[in-house]
Amino acid sequence: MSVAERTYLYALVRPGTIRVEVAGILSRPTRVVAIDGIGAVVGTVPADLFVADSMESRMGDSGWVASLARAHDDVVAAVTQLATTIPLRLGTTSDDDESVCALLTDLAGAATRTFDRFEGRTEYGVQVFAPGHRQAPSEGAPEGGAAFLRRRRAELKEDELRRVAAVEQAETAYQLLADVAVDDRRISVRSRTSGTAGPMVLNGAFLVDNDAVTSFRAVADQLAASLGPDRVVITGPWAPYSFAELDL
Amino acid sequence: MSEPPVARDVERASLVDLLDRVIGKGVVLSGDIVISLAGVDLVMLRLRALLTTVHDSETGPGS
Repeated sequence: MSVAERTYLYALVRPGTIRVEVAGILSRPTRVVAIDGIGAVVGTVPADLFVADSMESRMGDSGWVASLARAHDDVVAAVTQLATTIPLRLGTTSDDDESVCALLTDLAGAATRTFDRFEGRTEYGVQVFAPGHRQAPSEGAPEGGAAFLRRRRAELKEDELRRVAAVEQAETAYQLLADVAVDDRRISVRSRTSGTAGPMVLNGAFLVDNDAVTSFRAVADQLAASLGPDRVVITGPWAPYSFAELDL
Repeated sequence: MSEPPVARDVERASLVDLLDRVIGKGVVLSGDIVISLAGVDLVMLRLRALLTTVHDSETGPGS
């Protein structure tokens, strides 16, 4: 490998004997570097791909980052079908394959504990939103300034009450989902408003036994039925990104 | 190990949800052997903020 290239790491896998055939970042082929039963799914990338300068210059190119993120996840998602997978953060690179081998040797113990935690399990995301806004007021006689302010204050108070109630519903939902999952994490809620629903009040990640996925989805579907289909969003299956801390 | 589910709810997995995971989560390797090149995390976080603004309207649920 020339010095102008580096080894990009997508994920750690167990067993390390799998054959990956999915193309990765920049449509480049991927391969597995393995040692003692565990492996790293890697590809070769230009050394300057993740240098801050070249990235800064592409800041405005959202399509470029999106394609990097998708390429990274395409590989990670594909290998979850073949092996127990520890997803790595986008942008992880190493000097060369030899360094990757050294890394695997160093991390073998910690990685094994994390593989044990992930084996036969999948991540799902569940987001809960507050109810949407009321219907726009019917058009009638123009209202005066004082009447407008009164109505606006009442609306804001109503929105806040609605949000507080939604947070409580979301907490209950989180507990119900966590009961079916083997592990759970809260991801920070986003401020955006989606389609017809109100603000996001819960962004949860759940690590679910593959045998329990049906029950998990049933709980999520039940939540969607009781809160309203526009207020509950299920994402996944994901590789267990949200649970990927190495158990050092 | 039992078979993991194959299908992904593509229409539900928005770009923002993806970025939450590939940039915000996932094991970070550090030390002498593997280097996530200096400054990358910071740049990626800024990119993420930017993308969130750009893509929110088109990637929300129900879109």
